[in-house]
Formats: sequence, structure tokens, C-alpha cells
Amino acid sequence: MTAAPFTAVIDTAQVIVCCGAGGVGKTTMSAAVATAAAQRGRRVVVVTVDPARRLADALGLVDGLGADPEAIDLADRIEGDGELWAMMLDADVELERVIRTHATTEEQARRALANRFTRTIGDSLGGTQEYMATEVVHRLVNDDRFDLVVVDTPPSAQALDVLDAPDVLVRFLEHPVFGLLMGSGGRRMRLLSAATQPIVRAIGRVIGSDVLADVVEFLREFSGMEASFAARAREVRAMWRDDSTAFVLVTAPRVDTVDETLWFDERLADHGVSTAGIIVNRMAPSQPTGIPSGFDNDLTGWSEWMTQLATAEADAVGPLTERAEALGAPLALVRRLGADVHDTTGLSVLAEYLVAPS
Amino acid sequence: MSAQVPPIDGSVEESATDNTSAGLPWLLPDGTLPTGRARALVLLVVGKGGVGRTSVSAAIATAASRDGLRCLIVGLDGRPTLRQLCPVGDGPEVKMVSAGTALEDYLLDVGFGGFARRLATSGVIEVVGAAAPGIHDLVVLGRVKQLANDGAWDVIVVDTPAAGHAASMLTSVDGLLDIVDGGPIREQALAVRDMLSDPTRSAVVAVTLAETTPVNETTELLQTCTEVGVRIAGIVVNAVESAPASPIPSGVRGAALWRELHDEAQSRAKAAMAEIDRVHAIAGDVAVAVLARRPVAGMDAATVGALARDLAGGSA
Repeated sequence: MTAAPFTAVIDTAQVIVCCGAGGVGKTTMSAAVATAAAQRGRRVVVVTVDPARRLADALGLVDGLGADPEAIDLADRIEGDGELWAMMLDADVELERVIRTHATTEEQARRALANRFTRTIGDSLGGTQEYMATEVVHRLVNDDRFDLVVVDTPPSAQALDVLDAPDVLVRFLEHPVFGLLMGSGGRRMRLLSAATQPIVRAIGRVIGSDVLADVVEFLREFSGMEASFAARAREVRAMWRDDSTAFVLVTAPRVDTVDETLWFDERLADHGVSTAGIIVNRMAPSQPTGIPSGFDNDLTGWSEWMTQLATAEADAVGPLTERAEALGAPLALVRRLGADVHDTTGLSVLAEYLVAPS
Repeated sequence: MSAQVPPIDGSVEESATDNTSAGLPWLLPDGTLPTGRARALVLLVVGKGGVGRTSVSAAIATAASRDGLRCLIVGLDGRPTLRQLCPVGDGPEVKMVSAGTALEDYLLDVGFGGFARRLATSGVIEVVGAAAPGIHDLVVLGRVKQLANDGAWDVIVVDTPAAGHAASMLTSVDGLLDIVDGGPIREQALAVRDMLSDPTRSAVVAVTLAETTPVNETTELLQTCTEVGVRIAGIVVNAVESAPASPIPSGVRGAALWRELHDEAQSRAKAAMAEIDRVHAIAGDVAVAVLARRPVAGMDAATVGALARDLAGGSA
């Protein structure tokens, strides 16, 4: 099967989700994908869920990124109506937006936001950050200013949480243990009767009764919002699985990272999602064949070293080539550059490698 | 002091000089080997994804074993690769600790036997983890502390999860002490904090690449260590590439392409040296080891063994 070029993904997708292991340059590559699309005339917003400031670094923004989309100047390297915007996920800001969206009254929103457990849930409940990311993507997809949303995800193990995220909070709110804490009546908390349950006493003894009381309070503030959350979860789940959403795997030319990428591709398939493309970042460039006779020991040692590295990396990437062919998905090999990418000029160079015919 | 990138052939004169002058990470603050003690010295190896943290952890454990220390290496992210990176036979012992099961084990240990099983089966573990942020990190560190008090090892090398998480792992203990005012979790948090704040019982080794973002993140991580009061035993700058000093002679076949590659190598090496200088600037008195990149696309025990020799420097 002949692989489609990367341009097919970049020109048609409404959402591109970039996934990959830590340290493969995923954030920079997300920005490069977004740059390539903007240069081809699309109105693109790239959003990072990475708490580090790598997206801002790659875009050359000294002051960092905000929680709202910000226009990036691509100077004259742009075609037609193309635009590039960027934003950073701020889980706290987003949680507040989510609560205000789902709360039935202003008073309910105020109480939910004041709860101590609400304020720490982003750090404590696995998948909360990813849930907030799905909310952002959902909002941006429905924002008329953009026709493509590029999402940079956390490292691969957690990236799967993005797929599961819509269900996380719902599952938490509907947890059977909380049924116990809340009493069967649901809305009215029955802490006194709950406290007599051995299992609840046990939890209280481990984490302390104050902490437990915060959780119960949290559940009380959120009761009534479950239906609204569940409805949104269904919409978002459909969005992730829509044909217009493309999952692109970013990887490095190393055996362990390639293994992790193949593992992630399988997990995506388990979730009913097909990999839309693979990008191998920072490949050592191949050498001219043969070492020139004019090279001294220093240059000969260096060129032999470079050849060994390029050969080892080409071997490591082999299984990905096979997988991409089987999927009929494009595989882009992006050569490593002489310097880290720190500005939009560097991103344009990477973007050229992405759209170049392989 | 200006940074020197090790020459490309893998010899390590400069990094060896750095190491021997400033101390090896598996030594106690007074420069002696941690032998004949009731508790092991715990080395938490931290660094962001992709910097080679697991390889460096294995290299530290291998080098410490070669120094005659009884060494255990603990993997926390559940990757089985750690075993393949350590020499078979007289090398370090390898143990995997899962954050998921550590909390369950802990609840069993503190006498919640019957409850813990019910807690596990009803999914309450997840709820406890969500209600008390950092509790997973605490029980993992608690498990490491338990291993350290076992008396079976001189050094325990811990391959921690990626950098953002490593920082939260260190701060989680204080965070829990803030919200939990009594009970077994508080006792556990106090015991772990005792271990972390005692420079003879634990220390952090930071692993970075000679690139801007990893060095920035290392800077932040070291600040966290200082705030939490954890000793920093060393910084390892991993996978550093050097460039040939000689220029490409004119008239050779393919000279234009060779020159392009040569220019890139020079520019990368120059950037790397500037980053190594930054590492030295933030390191202060802390030892900095520079490891040369190998021309490989995957690690094995032999390559890790070579890294271990680089780390041990002149004393090997």
C-alpha cells in the first residue's frame, strides 16, 4: 500500500492529536505541524497540555503563553488566509470554566469553586488535566475563528487518558463508595450514617476525617451536575473518534521509544482509533558513502561515528516503516538540525520536512 | 571554568577530571563509601523523559557495585528494560516497585488487612489516592525507606518517573503533612521526610542533556530540592556530542555535504558547551559529570558498563 503524504492529514483534519513518549520533541513537532498547516492556508490553533513551557519556547515567545489563543506572527511565510494561534492549557482556569458551564446556579458554582478538594483535584485525580484538555479542544473545535486544532499531549502513558478523560470525572462522581458517603438518598448528605460504615471509617482513619469531609463536601457541591457532565462526555467521546480527528505519533529513532510507539499504536486501536501518521524526529542525517582519503584521524573517527549512529537509527526505525505501510499512513523522517528550534523560522524548516514528498 | 566535551572516541579525560575532583554520587557527604551502616544511602535519580535517566541510573548502580558496594536499583515506572541494562551476576540487584500496588501493600501493612482487600476490590484505593494528593508518591517513598532500613544494601538507586513528577514526588510529603493532621499517613510522611532531609540517608542525582529545555528543567528541579531540603549528590550531563577540530579539507569527494554536516556538528557542540557551562554555574559545589553520547539507537548492559566507567572516572 502506498502511504498518503502528510499533507493529506494536514489539509483535511479538524483535530490533530500529537502523541508520543517524553523527550521526543513532541511539543516542537506539534508546533511544526500547526505551522505547516497555517502555511498551507488553514486557520490553526495549537494547544499544549504540557506544563513545561516548551511550546512557548518553540514559538519563540519570551513571555510564555496564556490560557486564551494568541496569534503568532509567521511573517510572509504563509499562503492565502492561513493563521497560526497558540495557547497553553491552564487547568485551574479551565476547571473554573467547566464548573461555571455545568453549574445550575451561580451559588452552586461559587460553592464548588471554594471547596478545598476542588482546588487540588487537578493534581490528585489522574486524568483531570486531560479532561480539561478535552474541554478546551471541544471549545476550540466549535470556535469559528479556527478550522484546525492541533493538540500536544502529555507523554504517552497519560496521553491515553485524553481518550478516557471525558469519563473520568463522571466515573468519580458516580463511584459506588461515594454512594455510601452520600447515602442512598443522593442529594442530601448523610455523613452520620455513612460514618458508621466500616469502609468509610477505614478511609477516614487512613486519610484523616478532615480530608474525607472535604471530599464529601465536594460531592455535595457537584451533585446535580452529573447529567450535564455525562452529556458532554458523550459529545467529546464522539469527537475523539470522528474521522476528522487524526492521531499522529511522534517518536525518536531509538529502540525503546519505537517499542513504546508501537505499543501506543496498539492501545489506540483498542480504543477504536487508527493512527493517522507517524513522525520520527531528530534522525541523524545519512553520510556520503565512503570516507574521503583526505580526512585525518579526527575527521575519520567523527565520520565513522556518524555513520554508526545513522545505521543504528535506520535499523531502529524499521518496524515503524512496516507499521506505517500496513496502516497506509504517512511516515515522516525529520532530520535533526544543527540547533534546537527556538523560533518560527526553525519551525518552518521542520514543517518543510513534514510536507516534503518522501 | 569552561566546559570540555569529551572526545568522540569515548575516552573521557575531561569528565573524569571533573568527577574525581568533585566526588562520586554514591559517596557520603564526607567523601567515604556508605558501608557498614544500618541503613542504605538512597539515591533518587531524576530527570525529564528522554534524557537517559534509566541508563544513567543503571550506570550509577553498576559503578557503585564495582566500588564494592551492595547495591539495589529500584525501578518505579514499571518498565522491564532496567533488568537488561544491568550486568548479570555480581552487578546490582534489580527490584520493581509499582505505585499502584504500593498503596495496597501499605494499607495491608498498617493493619487494614480485611479492609484493604475490600478497599482494593471496590476501587476505593483510587478514591483514597484522589482525596489525598501525593499519597501514591508517599507510599512509594515509604517502600524505598523500608528497603533502605532493611540492612541488606549499602546503596539504593531509584530510577524515578519523569522530572515534573519527580518534583511533585519530593513536595508531596510536605503537601500531605499540611492536609493530614493525624493517623498512619502522617506518621509515614514524617518518617519519609526524616529520610529525605538527612544528607547521609538520601540524595538526588539530576540527569540532563546539554540542551536548553532540559537544563532549564534541571534548574527548577534543583530549586525544589533546595526548598524541600534534599541533598544533591551530583548532576549528570548525558549524551553529549563533540565535533571534530579539523576542518573539512577542500577538494575531497562530497566536500559540500561533509561541510554542511561538519557545520551542524560544530554548532551543536558549541551549544552543548554553553549548556554545560550553565550547568556548572547552577551546580555550585555539586559534582558535574559529562557523559559522551554513544553511536547507538538503544542501550544494553555493555554500553551501560562503559557509562559506569566514565562516571567512576579515575578511580575505576
